[in-house]
Amino acid sequence: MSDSSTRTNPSQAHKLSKDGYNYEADLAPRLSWKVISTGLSFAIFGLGGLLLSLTVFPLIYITPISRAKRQRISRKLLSHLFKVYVRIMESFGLIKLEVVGAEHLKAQGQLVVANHPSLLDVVYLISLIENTTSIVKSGMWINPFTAGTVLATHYIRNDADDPLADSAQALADDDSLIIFPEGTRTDPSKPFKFQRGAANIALLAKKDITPVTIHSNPPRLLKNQPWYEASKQTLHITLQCHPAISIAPYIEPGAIRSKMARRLTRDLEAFYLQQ
Amino acid sequence: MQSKEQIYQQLVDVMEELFEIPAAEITPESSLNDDLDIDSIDAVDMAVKLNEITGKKIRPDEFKNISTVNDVVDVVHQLVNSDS
Repeated sequence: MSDSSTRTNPSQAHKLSKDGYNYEADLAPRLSWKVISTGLSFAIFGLGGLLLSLTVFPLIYITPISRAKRQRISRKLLSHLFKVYVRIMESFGLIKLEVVGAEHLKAQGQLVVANHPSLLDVVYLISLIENTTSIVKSGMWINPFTAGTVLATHYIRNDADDPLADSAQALADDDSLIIFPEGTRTDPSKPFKFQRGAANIALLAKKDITPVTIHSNPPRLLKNQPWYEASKQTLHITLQCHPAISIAPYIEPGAIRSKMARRLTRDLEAFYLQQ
Repeated sequence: MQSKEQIYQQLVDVMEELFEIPAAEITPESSLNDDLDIDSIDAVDMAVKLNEITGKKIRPDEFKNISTVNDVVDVVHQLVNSDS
């Protein structure tokens, strides 16, 4: 008898996950191709990432070119690598990625926010945006799997003196920025809540916010689901890109920033809860 | 010279104004982060506002030790009642 109290029951999740999904019934047998290819995918990601982070990206980093050129080339390379990785997973029959409204991601220097249901969200998003940065954990600069990569791409450190100012600067330089306002992967057992970092960046940079909704059917690769408990099905992942939400109403003269950050964050939460 | 009580009242007003927190929800023991949903960005805004009111600057490293409303009152009280 399996102990379901140790894992998240997706059917109790909030609206962004599918109701009535039977996690237990959908487990692929341990020695099935699904589980093997899932393990293989993780291995490819890990080893591929390690290799690139130790060879190609450090080479780009030390090449005597401008910082602008270096980060542009690196980010484009990363985006293409992630595109390839998505195709590998699709060829294994593990996922099928569908992008709706891709035209909303075409501009330069967009502030992109997304909900964060699964492990691979950042991979999907970066694969769609050639010049993007993000605020990431400072530990990545000393982790061999990621160090070369974050150095070459000049991602923003979360322990920098002022990550918000760095973010606003990136946007001003026409770099796109990806933020997950939930701060971590969605926990279906907790109420849906956005932190105010994205709103504060939008206010500081005076940038519209482009929301992306990520939906997984069946709801998988969530928090608390072990990797070897693969679904029998191909995960249908939908990335819905929406038209930008205007920042104008929130930056009217005299508006108090902390108040507007709260209002904007509430409006964003409401938007996502409607999806 | 300001008493802690006066500082507390002003602080409650500031938090209402900046963060829309109803005064009734604020107690001296309230945790800024856990009870009042005041994050680190808000803390900076609050320090700026307090500077405007008191003419004194709260140093960033002092903020690291602050977790409750009482902590803020203590820091401001010390600043306001010190020389210069």
